[in-house]
Formats: sequence, structure tokens, C-alpha cells
Amino acid sequence: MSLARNLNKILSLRSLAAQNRLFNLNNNLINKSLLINSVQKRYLSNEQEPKIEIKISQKAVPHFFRCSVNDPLKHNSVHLNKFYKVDEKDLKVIDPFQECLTREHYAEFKAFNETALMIRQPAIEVIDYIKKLDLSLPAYRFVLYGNENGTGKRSTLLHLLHYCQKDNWLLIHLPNWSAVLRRSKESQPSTYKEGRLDTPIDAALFLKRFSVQNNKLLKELNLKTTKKYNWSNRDSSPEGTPLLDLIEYANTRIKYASDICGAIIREIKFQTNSNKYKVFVAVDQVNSFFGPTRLKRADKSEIKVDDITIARNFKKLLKNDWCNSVVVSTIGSVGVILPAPDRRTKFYDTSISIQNRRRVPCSLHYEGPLTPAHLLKKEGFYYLEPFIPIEVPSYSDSELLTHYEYYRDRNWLQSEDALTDDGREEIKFLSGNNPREFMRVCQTI
Amino acid sequence: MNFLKLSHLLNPLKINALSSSLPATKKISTTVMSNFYLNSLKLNAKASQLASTTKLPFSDADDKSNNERAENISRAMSYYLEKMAERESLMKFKTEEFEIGKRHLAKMMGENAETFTQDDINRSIEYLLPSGLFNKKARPFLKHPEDYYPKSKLAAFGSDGRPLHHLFYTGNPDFYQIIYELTQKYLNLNRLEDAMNLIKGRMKTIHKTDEADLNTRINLTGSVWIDRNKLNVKFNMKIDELSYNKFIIMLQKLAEHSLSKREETFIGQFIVPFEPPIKLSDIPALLKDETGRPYQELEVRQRTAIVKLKLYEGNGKIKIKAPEGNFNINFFDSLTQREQLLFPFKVVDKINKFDIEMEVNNGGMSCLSKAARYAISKALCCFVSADSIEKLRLAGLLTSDSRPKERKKPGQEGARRRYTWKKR
Amino acid sequence: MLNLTKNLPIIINKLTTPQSQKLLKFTSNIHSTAGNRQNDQNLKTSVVPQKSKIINPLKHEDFFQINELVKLEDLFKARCHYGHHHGLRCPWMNEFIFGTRITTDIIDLDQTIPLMKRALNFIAHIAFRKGVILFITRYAQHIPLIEQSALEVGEYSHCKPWRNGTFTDSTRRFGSVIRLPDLCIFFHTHEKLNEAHGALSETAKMLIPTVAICDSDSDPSQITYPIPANDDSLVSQQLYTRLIKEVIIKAKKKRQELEEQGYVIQYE
Repeated sequence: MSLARNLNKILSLRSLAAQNRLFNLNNNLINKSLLINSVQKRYLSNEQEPKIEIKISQKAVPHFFRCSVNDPLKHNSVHLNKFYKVDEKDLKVIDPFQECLTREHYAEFKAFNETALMIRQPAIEVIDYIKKLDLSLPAYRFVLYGNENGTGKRSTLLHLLHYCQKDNWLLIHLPNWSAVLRRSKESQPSTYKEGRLDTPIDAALFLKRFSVQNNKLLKELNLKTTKKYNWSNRDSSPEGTPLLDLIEYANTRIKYASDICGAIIREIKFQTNSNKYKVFVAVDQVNSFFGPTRLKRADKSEIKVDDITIARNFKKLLKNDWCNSVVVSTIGSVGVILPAPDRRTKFYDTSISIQNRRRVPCSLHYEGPLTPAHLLKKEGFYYLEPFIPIEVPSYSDSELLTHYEYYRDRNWLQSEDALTDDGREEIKFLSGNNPREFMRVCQTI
Repeated sequence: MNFLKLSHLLNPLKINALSSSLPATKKISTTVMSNFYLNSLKLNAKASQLASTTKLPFSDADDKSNNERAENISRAMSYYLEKMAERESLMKFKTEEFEIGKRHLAKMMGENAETFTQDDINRSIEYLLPSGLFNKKARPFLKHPEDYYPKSKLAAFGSDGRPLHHLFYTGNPDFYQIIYELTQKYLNLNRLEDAMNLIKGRMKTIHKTDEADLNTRINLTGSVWIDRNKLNVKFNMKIDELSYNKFIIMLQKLAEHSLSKREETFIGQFIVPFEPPIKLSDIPALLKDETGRPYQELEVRQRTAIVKLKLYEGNGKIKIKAPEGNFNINFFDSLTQREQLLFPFKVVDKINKFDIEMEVNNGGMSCLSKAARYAISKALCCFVSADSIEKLRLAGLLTSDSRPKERKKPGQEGARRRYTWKKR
Repeated sequence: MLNLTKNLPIIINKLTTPQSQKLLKFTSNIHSTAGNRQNDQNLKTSVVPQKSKIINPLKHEDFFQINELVKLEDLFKARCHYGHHHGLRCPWMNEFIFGTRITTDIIDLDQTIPLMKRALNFIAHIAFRKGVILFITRYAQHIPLIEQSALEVGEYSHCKPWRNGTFTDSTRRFGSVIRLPDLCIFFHTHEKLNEAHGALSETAKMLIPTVAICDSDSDPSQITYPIPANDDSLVSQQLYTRLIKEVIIKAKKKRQELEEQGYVIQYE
């Protein structure tokens, strides 16, 4: 059923794309009747109907939920609560492996045939700060947090990434970081130091992403190593090797990827003093750096975050012992790594009688308070201090309205009841102004 | 034989003599009267025979057979009279006892026995024998026997044993009499309608009649059919559920007849004015905040769930305070549970016009959501108009779910859930 | 209960016609014994009116002039000869069936008339002796008619669902000793579809005589005075109720008149 409905949505969108003339056909009734009349005239009468009229009607009504400015450099508080379009080329550079947002988001982008992000208050706030910063001072740290899950931290991060990419910043992006700590794709003991763990595939993936995101800038800068690196007894790279070559080397020798990753980070961090470039570090779920991991050694001893080579290196980026850089991180419940559920674990509290049992908090997901103090804990809090906490709130009424109108424009709401004012109020009530819940409620309608 | 007959003849005379000898002020007690009636009946039957015997000589055998027949016929009546006589004697005995008891009680209380009323008796018994029994019927009392002995029924048949009612053998003649009247009335109306149509058909050829003026059907708006219990009380009979339903169907059919206004008085017996089940006077008044903002407070318990609700006028903010922490509507995971909260607002068409503050405790999720729904719709009654309250009632939102929690069974993990089955 | 009706037609067939006619006349008065059979004229001559006015109604052959009431034409016009589909026929009714036409049984009205006369005579005698007569049916269409006609003649009716034990356990059912009916008249012998009326067996148990209109699908074996005729159509039911009403009123009037005139009614 849902498949059929979705198909219907996609088909309608396709027809929409194919026939731009009939853009408003399904949208509202008045235009529909007008169009039908024109269509009838066109087909029934011998005279040729001029098509200009329809084009005018299309252009004459600008959508209030769309932002005319698609360049994030020019965004300011005037454009608040509006959707702007991200170019597909830009998106392929910023987010090559589609990791920044959830799968649901990308499915919607595909269905809508465009990538539209809402310009929201926290993003504008951070952009304002970044514009005004004195970069000669040590690194600035921002922490995005929300009182609930799904309020739009990652999409804010994507907006910021887009801004920095346009502003020629060097991007270091760590999306979905906690997944590595939960279960790395491949792990092997380090050759550099005993007791550490290499995660070569994850490191290689990072390097690949890094190279795609900053390919143009790295070619311009032509950064070179300042030191000779010995990967093993036989392999080494001499001083003055370009960073791009190093990344290519890592592709061929995945075994050394995590060490190369560390070297590149070190080089970038060292050379910021030259004021040639600025570094933008975006970390998702930063609180996972300050907690336990699920990885285990062969002898079943636990591995700490500092024992993983790339994690150790990334953690250095969060320090404020370098300049010309901005660190924006999010914290969330996904980043809290809880011990892996055993096969015997019961996901409800057995101490309560069965009638009153609810799902036990903390058994699968973290369900406690989502403030920085609770999520970062003491270690993380002191590590990041001083940082600027920025709250990402759930939708205000006007934001919800624009999102609703956007969906309506994209024919995402198929049910006729959802198009009425009462329907909108119902959706608002059921979602509780939470963006993610709003998205999910609208999927089913 | 002759002697016996004579004695029978003499019997009523004796009684008459007795009654005449007594002073006029004193009545003959009912027992005596009934005995007299009984005997006179028997005698009357035989007196007729005696009259015949005087004229014609009759064999003894013939006499016997006739006697038997006469006795058979009046057996029902004689049995009834015997029973009555028994009851009368019992009542007489009990009244005497009561009088003596009353006198003793008055003496104990130091009051005048002549002016000792029933209220005085009740008061003094409550004083002498204080009882804390919960059921008031179980407490000690002293009353006139007529008050607490079951009253005797009137005989449903005459002296010859023939029942008085033509539907006596059905066992419930009162009720079936009503049905009989109802059917006859319906058939009469049908006949009348046919006749009228016939006349109308002839009249139409001459001049047309205004059909709008003929308001001949009974108007039942604002009224409902009488309740079964009320019907039982009103007509002093016992009707089971099934025959009551059939009766109502028949009444409905009569009321829908195009000429039913002619039987308005008959139908009127079975109509009561409609009373809304939720009275506006029962709804509590709105409370007011420190800031003067109107709100309503409620606590609802369903199974194990407890919901404490505060409903404000506002713009759709929801705060849920659970032992796990503070939430908004996302406290409820599934959409169906959220829709439970939405539904009362949707019925009165006021979505996002109220703020909710809830404190939830115990209970499962679905149970909590249902309790919250009931609490919201109950609190909404204070804010909305009477029409909306009726809408809420019709939607079934103002009836609480009184089902208790299902008990845990031995050998099972809960009420229904079994322990996980393991293959040895 | 003796099944008189079952054997009766066979005897008639065996006898010669004049004799059979004679027998039929006498059978209309079954209370009279064979020894007391006398002609109407003889009876009148034997009674001496001047001395004493004694009447024994059983000694008259046709005390209530019922022979004039029942006519073949009336029965035929009231569609009394229609039976049911031949597949529904009760085997005990075979004797009263004239034949089958287009799968429908036709009842032999020549046999119906004497049986009906006999039954009406019996009803009249019971009414004359001030007996209680109970009208019974469960056919929904006829209920108002039958209840009304019972009320008109001052008798009783039971057209409601039958509760077992109404006759057999009457003391408990009615709360006191009651007088049971002296005659039950069944206008329809079925309670539900193809199910005998509950009162049938109870009347048999309590030795209450019964008169019943038996269609081709009903069982006459438990009935004292069966009348083979159509019991489903309203027109024929109207005929039966008219006849029975007439007979009862006639008997009651006769009783009243005789008593007023100072007659003594004497049985044997």
C-alpha cells in the first residue's frame, strides 16, 4: 500500500518534471479549472491557444517558502525560515557518500528532484560568528545541541559545510563517527605502537572523502610534508611529498591508511600558521570521543577511544592549540555508546510487574537529558572548554508552515484531508513541532 | 344425608344470627367474612340441587355425580379462599403480637402507649438496640405486619373458577392485553386509511385536497420510548428483554403509521421526554490560575495507569511529566497513541487551542493514552458548549473504561504471556 | 387418547350406503351410548312437559341445529380444500386427501363436513355446560382475528409463545390452583415451521379434549376432534372463527333461555 502511494508520489513528480506547463495542475483547484479550460480549448478548437498566459501565472506567484538566494555566502537573517536550493555539483563535493543526513532525507531529495535546505536560526547564527571571527586566535569550538532528537542538528551542519565550501575553507568532515566506535569495518593491531588499533578501511574512507571535498583547494595550495615518514621498515615517504600523493598512496596501501591519516592531520594542523588557508572541522556526535567503545581485542580486553589510531588523531583536531580554524560539532544520543545488548538482555525492566513494564531507558538508545553537560560528561566538557553552545530548537509555527507548504508544493501530501487547515493543525499536533516527526507523519499521508 | 344438608342449611343462619347479635360499631373480621363466603358458596351449589330434589325424586348416585362436578368447578376458588383465610388468621395473630410489643416498648420508654406512633417506635428501637449493620434491611425493627408481609393478590378468577381475563392462560395477561390493543388499533388504522383513500380517490375527480394541511402522524421528536424497568413499574408486570424489544418495535410501527395521531393517547402512555444523560449542572466550573487564566484539573485512573491533567486555553503546547523525565507528545512512540490525545479535540473542532499539562504514572503506554483521552474529553466539557458536549458523548468519549487489570495466571509470565518455550 | 378418526372412514367404506349415513348421523353425538339412540321425534314424545321440564341435551341428535350451519359450498369458497405440497404430507392424513393436483394435496371436503359437524357439536355442548374454551394458534397472521373472536364470545385465547408446563405444572406457573380449560381449539397445529405445538402433548397428558384444524402436513393422531381443512389462508380461518363463534353463542343463549323457562338440564 505504502509502496503504491509512494509510486503515485514519484509518478506525479515525474509528470510534473516532464510537463512544466502543467506545474500547478494538481496544486489548487482554481488553477486546475483554468488549465483544464485552456487544455480543452487547445484540443477542441482549431485555433492555437497562446501558451504565454500559463507561464505568466507560474512566475507571477512567487512561493513564499522559497529563498531566491541560493548562495550561502549571502544568507542572513532576512532569509530565515525559507528553503534554498543546493546545487547537485556542490552536494557531490560536500557530501560525496551521502552520509551527512539520514537515509530518509536523501530519499526525499531523490523524489523531489532537488535538494532544498531550510535556512534556520542556528545556522545563520554560526555563519554570523564565523564571519566576524579573528582567526589568528586559537581554534573556536561550537557545540550544537537540541532538547530533543531530530531537531535538525545535522542539516544545520550541512548548511555550514556548504557555506565554508563556498568560502574556500579546508573541510575536515567526520559524519557518523560513532559507527566506527560501535563496529569498525576492519581492525588490526597497529605497527606503529603496540596496544593500538588500526581501522584501515574507515581511515581510507575518510581520506577519500577528504580528498573529494578539498581536491580543488589542495591542488591550489600544493601542501607538502615537512618530515620523513616511515610506514614500515621498507616503506617510507620522504620529506616534501604532496598531500594528494600521500592520499593516493594510502589508496594503494590501505594497510597504512590510518597512519597516513594521522600524518595528514598533523601536517594540516602544523601549517595553519602560514595563514594560507582556513580549516573547518565538522564533527557529528562529538560526545562519542569521550566515552567507551564496543570494540574488543583478541584477548577480549576493552579498547578505549585513545587506543584507536585515527580517533586519537581526530581528537587532536578538537584541541585549541592551533589557529585559523573553526570546529563545529554536534552532540546527540546516537553518540552515546552503550554496551552491546547481549542475546539474553531483556529490553524491559524485569523488576516492574509485567503489566506496568515500559521499555527500559538506556537499553538500546540513550534516553536521558540531552544537554552538553550530560552528554559530554566531565571529560569531554573540560576537553572542549571553552566552547560556544548553540541550541537547535524544534520548529516554530512559521517554520512548520513553510515546511508544510513546501511539501504541498512538491505534491508530497496526497491525502485531500491533509491539504485543509484542519489537516495541517492535526499534523502539527501529532508531530509536536519536531522536524523529524513532522517528516515521518507526512510520509504516511 | 338429610342431617348433613340441614346442618349446611343452618350454618349461614347461625353466622347471620351472630352478626346480628354483635353491636353495630364492631365489624366482623375478614376471616369470618371469608369463611362465610366459602360456606355460602358450597351451600348455594347444593341448595339448587335441594330445590330440584324437592320437586323430583332422585337417585343418590346421580346426586353424587352432580356434586362432584360442582365441586370441581369451584375448587380453584375454594383453594384461594382457604389461603386467604390462612393469611388472615396469621395477620391477626401478628397484629396482636405487634400491639403487645408496642405497649411493652412504650412502657420501657416511659411513654403513653395510646399515643405511641411508628416514629416513636423507630426512635426507641434505634436507642435500645443500636446497630451498625451496613444493610439497613438487616437492622432490627418493629412494624405493623401489613407493612412487611407480602400483600395478597386479588383472585384472577370468579367463583366458578372461570378466569376473569381472556388472556389469563398466557401467564402475563396485563402485558399481552396491551399488545392485543396495540394490534387491534393498528389494524383499525389500516382499515381507516383504506377507506379514506377510497374516498379521496373519488374526491379528487371533483376538487383537490391540500395534503399539507393533513398533519396526521404523531410527532415523536424530543421523546424516547419508555425504559423496560419503568414499564414494569408503571403497569405492575414482568417483561423480559426479548419481548420488550418486540413490543418497542410494534410501538414504533404504530407510531410511523400515517394516521397515528388518532392514537396519541395510547402511544403517549409509553413515551417519556428525552433527558440528556450528561446534565450541564453536573459539570464543574472552571478554575482560575494565579494569572487569571482559566483551567481545569482532573485525575483519571484506568487499570493501573494514573493521569493527572491540567487543561489550559492556549495554542497546543503539550507537557508530559513522566517518571523518566519531561516530554512533549513524543512521549508516545506510535501515532495511534498520539491520535488518542488528538481525537477529543478533533470532535469539538478545537485542535491546538488548548495547552495540556500532564503527569503520568504507572501503566502501559496504550493504557496511559486512553486514560489521557478520557481525561481530556472530560475536562473539555467545562470549556465547550452543550452541543459539543453532546458530540463528545455520542463519540463515546465521556464513558470511562471500567475494565480492571487482568490478573496474572500461575504458570504464565503475565495475564496472557507465557514463559519462553525451550526445547529441553 | 383414542384415535377415533383414524378408524372411522374405514368402517364407513365397509358398510353399505344407507347404513353408513345412519352411522354418520349418530356419530355427531358421541356422548350418547348405543342403547340410548332414539329418533328426535321419539324423544319428544317420551318427555312429559307438563309434569317436569327435564332436558337431556345428549339425547337429541342435533340439539343445536348444526347441520344447517355447515355447507359444502361455503367451505369450497373459503378454499378449505387446499393442502400443502405433497412432500410435506403427514402419513396420518392420507385418508382425508382426495388427490394431488400439480404437486398440491387436495383435501376431501366430503369427509371434512361430517367431522366438522361433529366437532362443532362437541364445542356447543361444552359451551352449553359452561366449560372453559381456549383458542390456540401461533400463526402470526391470524392472531389478532382469533384473539378478537375469543374475546367476543367470552372465551379465552393463548396465541403467545408456549411455555412448557402451563397445563402440567399449572399450580407453580400461576401461583395457585387454577381451573384448566375444558376444551382447546387449535386453529393451527404448528408452533414453528414443522414443529408441533407444545400444548398438544400437554392437553393429551391432562385429558383435555381438543378440536383442531388439521392441514395435510399436521399430525391428527393426538387430537380428539380433528377437522381436515386448510389452516393457512385467512379466508378459511375467518370461516372457522365465524362458525365456532356462532355455535358458542347459540349454545350459551340456549342455556339462558332454557333456564329462564324453568327447564332442568339433566344428563342421564
